[in-house]
Amino acid sequence: MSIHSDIVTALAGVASGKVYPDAAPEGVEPPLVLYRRLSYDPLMTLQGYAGLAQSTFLFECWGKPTVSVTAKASALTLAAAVQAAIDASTVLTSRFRVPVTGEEYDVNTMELMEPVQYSFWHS
Amino acid sequence: MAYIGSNIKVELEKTKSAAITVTGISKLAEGVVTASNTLTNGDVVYFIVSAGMVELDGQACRVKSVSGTNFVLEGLDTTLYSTYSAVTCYKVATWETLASAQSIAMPNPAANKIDLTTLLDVVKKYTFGLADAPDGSITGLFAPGAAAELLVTAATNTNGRMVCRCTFQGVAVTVFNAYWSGGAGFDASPNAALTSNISFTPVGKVIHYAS
Repeated sequence: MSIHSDIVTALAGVASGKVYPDAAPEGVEPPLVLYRRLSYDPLMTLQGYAGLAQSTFLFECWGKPTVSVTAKASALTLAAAVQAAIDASTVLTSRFRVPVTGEEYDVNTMELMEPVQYSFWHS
Repeated sequence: MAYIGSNIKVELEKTKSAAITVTGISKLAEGVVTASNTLTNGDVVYFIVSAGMVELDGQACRVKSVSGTNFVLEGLDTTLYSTYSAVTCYKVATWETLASAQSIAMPNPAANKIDLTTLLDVVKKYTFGLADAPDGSITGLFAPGAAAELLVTAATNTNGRMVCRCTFQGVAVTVFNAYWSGGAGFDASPNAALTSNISFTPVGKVIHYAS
């Protein structure tokens, strides 16, 4: 299994399955999760690749206001769901939550993005 | 020619041959050993000296120019050594690769500074002696139970010597015999691969071969 497929498996129950790499398909509305790899760091020995690598992924949790909830609350709820799913995952076992800064707000759509960032060790 | 910290194989002596009885060692720019042997060029041998050429005790060296009962100690100048008397030789028969090694360091120690200053002197006076044996260390991924790590642990527990061979980019080779300490400690940090450290102190000369 690749780290990408492990992420898809771990987040299958989040945002009604609206979890996409890099960009959402046209017409799909938040709440949704976009994820992308920020870094890839192979573990090396003097001889060469040690068979493990560390990748850092950013999960953009896009929330949208409804009658009963603000965009901020929607995004925070979604971010918490992403964290809970990853922390409970049986496939992403070597996970580590890393600091992240910067939420985004789209004044036109009133959508708000809460970032979540993890680093994973994988083969 | 620059060597890069990549494709470096660190190997440890796993098994040794039966004792090779030495009957003579010359004192030359590259010592010539006389012994009934089945060595081939490129083999690594080391010596146990019970009398005579004590400078050779523990020394590891690569073999070249094997001919009849003679072989040459590649890169080892025995000119100023004591005269041969009683020496046993062993060939490193098999090697175990220390695949977890991430760095190896063996800094050159400074020559010993011996203070000759007297009370009458107005400036310090020194003479310089031989340098201490270099202390080395290997840092690598924590791999308890791995074959090479078990060899280090065994050498540590018995205070035994073990030959090491480093091959750089498949070309240059460094050979030395050493005392080892390792197999117990480790270092764990959040979200980092666990590492451990091995210390060693070479016995005799560390010999580098360009090819």
